[in-house]
Amino acid sequence: MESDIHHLAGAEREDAIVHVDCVSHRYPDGTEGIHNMCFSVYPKEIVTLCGPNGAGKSTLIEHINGLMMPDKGRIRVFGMDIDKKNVSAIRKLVGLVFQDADSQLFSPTVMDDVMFGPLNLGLSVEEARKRAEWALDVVGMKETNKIPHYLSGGQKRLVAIAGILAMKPQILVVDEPTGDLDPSNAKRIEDILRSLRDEHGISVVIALHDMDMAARLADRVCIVRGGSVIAEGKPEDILYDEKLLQSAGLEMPMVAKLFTDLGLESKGVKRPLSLEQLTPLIKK
Amino acid sequence: MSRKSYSRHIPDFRLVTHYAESRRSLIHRMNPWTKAVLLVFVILFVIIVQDPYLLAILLVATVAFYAAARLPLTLLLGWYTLPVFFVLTLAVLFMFSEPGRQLASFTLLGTRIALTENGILLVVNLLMRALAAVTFSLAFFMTTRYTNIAVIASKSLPKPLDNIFLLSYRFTFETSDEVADVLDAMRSRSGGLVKGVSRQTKMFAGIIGLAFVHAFERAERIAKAMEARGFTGTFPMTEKIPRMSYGDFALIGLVALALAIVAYSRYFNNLIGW
Amino acid sequence: MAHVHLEDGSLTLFWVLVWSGVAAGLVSIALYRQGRGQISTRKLAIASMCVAVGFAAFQIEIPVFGGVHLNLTPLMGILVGPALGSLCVLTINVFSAAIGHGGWSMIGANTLVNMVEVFLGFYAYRFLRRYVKVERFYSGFGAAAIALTVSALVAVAIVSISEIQGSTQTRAQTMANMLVLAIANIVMGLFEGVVTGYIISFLGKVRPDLIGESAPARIEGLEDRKEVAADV
Repeated sequence: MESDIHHLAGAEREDAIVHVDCVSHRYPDGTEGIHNMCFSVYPKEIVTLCGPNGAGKSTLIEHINGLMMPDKGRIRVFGMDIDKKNVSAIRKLVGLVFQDADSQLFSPTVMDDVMFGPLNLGLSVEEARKRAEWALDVVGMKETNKIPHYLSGGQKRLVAIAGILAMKPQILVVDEPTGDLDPSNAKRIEDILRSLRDEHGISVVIALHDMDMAARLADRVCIVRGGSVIAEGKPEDILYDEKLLQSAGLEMPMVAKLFTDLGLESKGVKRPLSLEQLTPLIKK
Repeated sequence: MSRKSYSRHIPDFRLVTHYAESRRSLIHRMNPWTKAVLLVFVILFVIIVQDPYLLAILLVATVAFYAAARLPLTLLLGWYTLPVFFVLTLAVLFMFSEPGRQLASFTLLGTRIALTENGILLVVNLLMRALAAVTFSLAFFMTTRYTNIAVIASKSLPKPLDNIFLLSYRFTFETSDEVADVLDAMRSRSGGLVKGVSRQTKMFAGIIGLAFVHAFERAERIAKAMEARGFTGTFPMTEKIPRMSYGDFALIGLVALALAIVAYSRYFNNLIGW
Repeated sequence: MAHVHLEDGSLTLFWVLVWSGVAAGLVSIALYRQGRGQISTRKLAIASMCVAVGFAAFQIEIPVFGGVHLNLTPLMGILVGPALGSLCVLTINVFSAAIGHGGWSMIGANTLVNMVEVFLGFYAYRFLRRYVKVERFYSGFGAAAIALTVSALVAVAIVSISEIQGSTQTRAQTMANMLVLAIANIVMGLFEGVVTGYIISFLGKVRPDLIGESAPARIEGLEDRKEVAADV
């Protein structure tokens, strides 16, 4: 399993649609946000950035969208190096959903808010409305004339995602998508993210510290610590490496803990990543 | 989030917007530009008209307009507190020093203070003017959807004032809730038991300071979110206000004519017996 | 907000136009100083938030001396500078007029008075802090007290010159009446000075960058508050 874990040193598959190449960024007060960060995104995958608060996840994702510029290194998105001149083109390709949904809903109604992005892209009002209706349909949000302020937390998160989806990005970057949501809304968000990859071919980058969610969703897991990715690989490898996770201030997902504590690991048995996969093994 | 207003005496924009977005009276369906123009005319009437009977008619007309929108009159009465307070704060000084026929007088600290007919008339006129303007203004905002106010603001205010206005309007919901929540939290812990001007002042200063810190930080996040969605400095308008109909023009024409007569009568030739 | 505390109809049309014209001229200068009508998204968001917070906070009644309301305009001047602050106070006056706190026709006069507060708040704070080297609380107190005292007198001047419509008193009598109000406003201004001093002290501990001091914030783009208050 160790051989599947890459300690990144600039390795890049040819089909990477985002490549963060040894990027460093220092904040004005001297704090290092990210340091020699190497990270890639590939087509039609869900990749999770796992790390505790302050690890550099949010800093990294703001670089991918062009909200921050690196002090050192470069970032390529679909073959373009991000710079101040092409940042608007980048934002058409990379959509960013912030952790705080309230900070993204600033229009008078849900429909207006979701139309905001497409209108800024230059679409006509009619085209923008169609896009918005499609995006709201994808996330299952029906109350389109409500004032965003009066939506529930889960609904706000859905509208925030729809607002980015309506811009038809190729990559969706989401920061802590289910942090403050109740379980049913959290599951809904997870299902939506999965469907974006499966049905719409969008690559999804998720910054989180919920390892159970990472286990359920990720095709690839990257562990972030101290401003760098210290390990990446398949979830069944990374999320079962307790030492690695603890070194990054993280815990094993519950399903992995149960699997190992119950002594179910053996040759030929695929490591489960969800309770649905674990239950038959326990029953056996 | 807190939904209640601070006070029944201070109009709450959340409640104002609720009435605008959820009701469908005849006044709600009026063209927003027509209502905006009528608001301007009402303000001009309030400034130009001097006759107390005409002012009374103006006040009744604005209250009738408000009532025709099926808006709650008890709410309006509560919201009259501020303008009444402001008028009386000023008038209480003027009404006792206004020359004219004395109705009552008394001596205070060796000075003769007289309540005169002109003093009372001044207060009554000022009150009627203030209340007519406030009534129509509230009726306008409580019957015009936010998206239409956004269009009116974008067409009538210079940049970036229009954007500041539009975003601020949206933000008042959040900040009103936050301030109300913090006040609730404070009251629930201190329950009015906090003694001392100094401690009370420090506490409120802390609330306001915290509100500003949160506001700045939220503003920075919102700016990023706007830029992440391609914002380039102009809010795209998603709605158009339909053109005014012949009926709207006729109404505006009639009101404009009345205003012209009143103005001419005041400033040039007394047509209506002032 | 410091007001001339007049509703619509208190001044004649002539004086409404005069004060509105003067205010429009000063606001145009402020708009020009802000980059000819173009402001960054960040400044737009900050200005809008200031308006919203100022408007919300101004509706809070502080339970001292029987209940007092704050202006916060000197504080706004300190936080966002005189040009952006002027745009903020104009917007707040529009919202206030909409709900009957001051008349629509008084927006010009009220904005003039508030611009004095914003302007003096900013410059007095800087002067006290940088040149006289007074600590934050006293700088905040001094700036607010100076700003609100001067603005109270400006309000007296505006109303005395314009006279109250329908009143037959002379300008001198009007001024005498207004001075009584001005004294009350000045006393309130001293109280607000204390509140402003506490707020500045609080901000100095939590976010000194917001008042243009020491460690800039660990947030992209907020490395220099001068960017916000680059009006000087």
